Amino acid sequence: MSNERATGSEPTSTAGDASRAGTRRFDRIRGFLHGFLTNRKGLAGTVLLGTIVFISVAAPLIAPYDPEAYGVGPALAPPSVSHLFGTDDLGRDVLSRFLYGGRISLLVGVTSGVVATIAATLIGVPAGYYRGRIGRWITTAIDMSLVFPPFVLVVVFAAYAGSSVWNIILILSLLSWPIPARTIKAKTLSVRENDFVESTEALGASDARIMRQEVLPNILPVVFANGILQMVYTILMEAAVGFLGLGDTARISWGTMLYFAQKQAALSSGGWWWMVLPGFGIALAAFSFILVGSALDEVLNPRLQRRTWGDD
Amino acid sequence: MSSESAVTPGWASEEPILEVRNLEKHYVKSTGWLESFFADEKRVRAVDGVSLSIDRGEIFSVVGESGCGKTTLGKTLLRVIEPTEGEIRFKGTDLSSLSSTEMQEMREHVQIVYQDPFEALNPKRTVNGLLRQPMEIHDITSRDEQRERIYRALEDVNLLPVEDYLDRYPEELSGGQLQRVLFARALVLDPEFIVADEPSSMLDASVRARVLDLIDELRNERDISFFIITHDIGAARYLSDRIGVMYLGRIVEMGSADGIVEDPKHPYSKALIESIPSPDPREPLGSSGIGSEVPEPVDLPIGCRFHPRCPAATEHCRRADPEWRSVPSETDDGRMTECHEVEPKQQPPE
Amino acid sequence: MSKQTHDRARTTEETLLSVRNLSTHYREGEDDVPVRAVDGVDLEIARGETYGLVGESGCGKSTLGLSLIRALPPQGEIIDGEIHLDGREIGQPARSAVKDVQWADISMIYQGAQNAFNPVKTVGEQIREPLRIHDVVPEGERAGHVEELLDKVNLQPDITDQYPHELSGGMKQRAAIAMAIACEPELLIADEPTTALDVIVQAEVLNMLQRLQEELNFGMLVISHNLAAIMKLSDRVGVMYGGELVETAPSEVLYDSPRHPYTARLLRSLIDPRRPPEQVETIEGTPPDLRDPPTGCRFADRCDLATEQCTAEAPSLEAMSERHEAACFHHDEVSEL
Repeated sequence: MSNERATGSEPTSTAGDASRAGTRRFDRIRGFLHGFLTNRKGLAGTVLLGTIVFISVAAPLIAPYDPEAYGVGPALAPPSVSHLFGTDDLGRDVLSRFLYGGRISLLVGVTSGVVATIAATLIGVPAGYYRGRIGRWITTAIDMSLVFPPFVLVVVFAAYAGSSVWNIILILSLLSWPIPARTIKAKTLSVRENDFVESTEALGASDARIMRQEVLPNILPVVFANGILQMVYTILMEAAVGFLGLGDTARISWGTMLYFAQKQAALSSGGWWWMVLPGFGIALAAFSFILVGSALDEVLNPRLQRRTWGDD
Repeated sequence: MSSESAVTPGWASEEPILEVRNLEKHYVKSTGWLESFFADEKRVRAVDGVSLSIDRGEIFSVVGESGCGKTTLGKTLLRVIEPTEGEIRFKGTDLSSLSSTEMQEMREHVQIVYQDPFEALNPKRTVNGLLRQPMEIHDITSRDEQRERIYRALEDVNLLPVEDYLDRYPEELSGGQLQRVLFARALVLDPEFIVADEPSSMLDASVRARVLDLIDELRNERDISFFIITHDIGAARYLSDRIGVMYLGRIVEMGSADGIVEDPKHPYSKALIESIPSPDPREPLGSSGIGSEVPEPVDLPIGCRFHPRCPAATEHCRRADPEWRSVPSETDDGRMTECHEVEPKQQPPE
Repeated sequence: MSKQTHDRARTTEETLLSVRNLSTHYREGEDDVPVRAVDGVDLEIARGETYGLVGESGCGKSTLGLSLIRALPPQGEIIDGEIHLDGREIGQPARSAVKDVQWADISMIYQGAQNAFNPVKTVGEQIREPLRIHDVVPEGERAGHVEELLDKVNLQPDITDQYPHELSGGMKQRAAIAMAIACEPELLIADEPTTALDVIVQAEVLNMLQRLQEELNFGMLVISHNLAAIMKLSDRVGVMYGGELVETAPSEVLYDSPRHPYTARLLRSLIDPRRPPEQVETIEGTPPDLRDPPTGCRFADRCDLATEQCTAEAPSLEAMSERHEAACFHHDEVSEL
């Protein structure tokens, strides 16, 4: 956030050159990062998320065992020095599986979150921008998509199309765009009311240009914050799909770990350690995205917009 | 500058740059869908039959209370708001018949400067970006040309040295400076006609004059015609050649700026001018002599639309619409008004 | 001019409000350099007197008004000075004590009062609110009292059952005035009472304030950037610049012979539509940054009369004539500007 105020700060420097615009943009980004990282939620969320991403990426290096190898220890062994979080019914190391499982959970969650947000923006912006029939049609389409019960559809789709990771990403993206699209539409409606949009219209700009140059930069904060929160939803959805056994059971994800644990009655047979880590991972990932998302919202949408001349 | 005006400056001043006939803008007042079954839809007549013409290089101001439709009129002139009815001719071209693409192209020559510079500039762009955008829209892509026009515009609005302003964001500028950025943004396209909505009302007195003088300079140096929307009658008189007084969607009196203020004919113009406090503390506070409640232009009264507030209203005013006609005035400024009680000008004998 | 003779007769020498060395600062965060919005202002208002405070945006005039009723935003703080109303100190006590003073002794018509109403309560409920808090009128008589108040501001009694959005801007402004005078305060502060109103409504509001003051004899502090309107209404006018009071005088004296260059320039930036000047003046430059105001005169860098002395030391208010004070080393040269 720039600390400069217009009141009384007439420009002083005269050295103007093309590179200054770049510098100014850099200043703004630095200002944003500063605001974000001094925000407690932002810092905590970034550290948490960074840790989760790190262990998932570095899984091959830090995992003590091959996650797919059977019988690296006794079946359903409780936590011990050699298996910090015990083993599953086939004698696989739970910690190693957890570290690898994060990869799929994050991949599915983040990718479908990004795809859904992009789709939501492409649909939400015109829905809010066009006032007449076009706007109404798009809005109706969004509203109709909202009434589909997402979970049922996931189940049906996974059953028919098969449950490869990319299929799951596709279906989660398809199902999770309508809610952010509505938010983005609402924000677009309010940005559209600004005189600067009308004044650009009066300059003769086309609709596409106005949406791209006037509306989009001003709704990006909402898009970002929404996108991050969207990932919370898609990560949880992925876990739920996995848990129901509809995920790609050939690959390890936190959700499928829970599925197998549940299937083998881990709890009733006393194997609680099997479920602790994946459950914890899902909750923590979701929590860290929530922290980052709400910090973004606070930093990018400051409620107090300073005006330089109202009165006093 | 358009090529025509450069070639034939002689006749150009004769032809009006903008001419409107019977311009109307109605809004349908939204009632619930249930009510709309049972009641006729209500029409707000924001602009209700305005005809005027503006000469090349002229500064025309329209004054009136808020809600009189003056901003709607200004925006309708340039089809920023689509008119319901009527004809708008800009240098002979009927704007209302243009397709939306043709109109977009036409916008290179006609500009509008919005009232609130804090609202009318995209906060995410630097001054340089804001000024380049209009040229990109109209395919002026040469960097040198862009740079030249940006410098000229910023110099014209006296934001100097130009380099100091190019990289600034709107939030870093004061109201007066932003106002001038708004003008510069209109100027980079070298327009011939500018609608300015309350150009001075958001500014402190000490900088107000700078904007008024700027408009005058632009008229003189760039030969731009202005349509100014304002409630500040002092500024309107100081700045403009002619003034139109607007009431409930219609222009009720029109004449020279001096004539309207010195010798108003329509009772509404009189009331408006009476209410302006003069700075001299010895002069008593003025009073308009009319009620302060402006009716909404929904259920317009029969007869003269001003009669419910008019101190001079007669039975005739309640029944018959007044006619828009020439009336005599002290300065013989071609005064037109619509009021039954003002004697029309005698036709000179043949 | 009945106004002058009348006011002179009513304006007693008895001091109603006395402000000494008031300083109010704004600070965004702990480490921020404070904005010295009001910086050592002295002010006196007599009973029945109207005092007008003018200045441009950011000069501190609204902050001064808000300081008087302790309604500053959280970033603002009175850091020095004394405020006496009717001999009682009201500058320092806790907020709860100020609550007793508000409405009953001092009331304020806020800037943009048209928008200050609660949209979900009827106008009547809101006007009754101060009456209820201060219990000045027995409960049974309150409805009648509200009607009387509305009558004073030319509003129909039936608007008590209406919601704010049903009223026009001018009607809301009048309702705000009715609310402000409900408890018959001794001092009425009106912050930009006519800004954003059309001339016809503006004239009505100004006339109304003048009439009410004659009837109720309260002291009035009118804050506005509209110099023309304020000189009409006020017995005395104070001009603020950069957080300081730079000149104060009876309005006619100020109009005829300003002794501070800023006042003089400000007067010449006015446009009287009936006598438009050939050239309206602009004051070049911008007001000082109140985080770091200059050591000398705050107007020096925009002033044609400025000398080395002006940038070196700060002038203080000096008596020019009876009831006329100006803070300028070159006050003798102002008439030649």
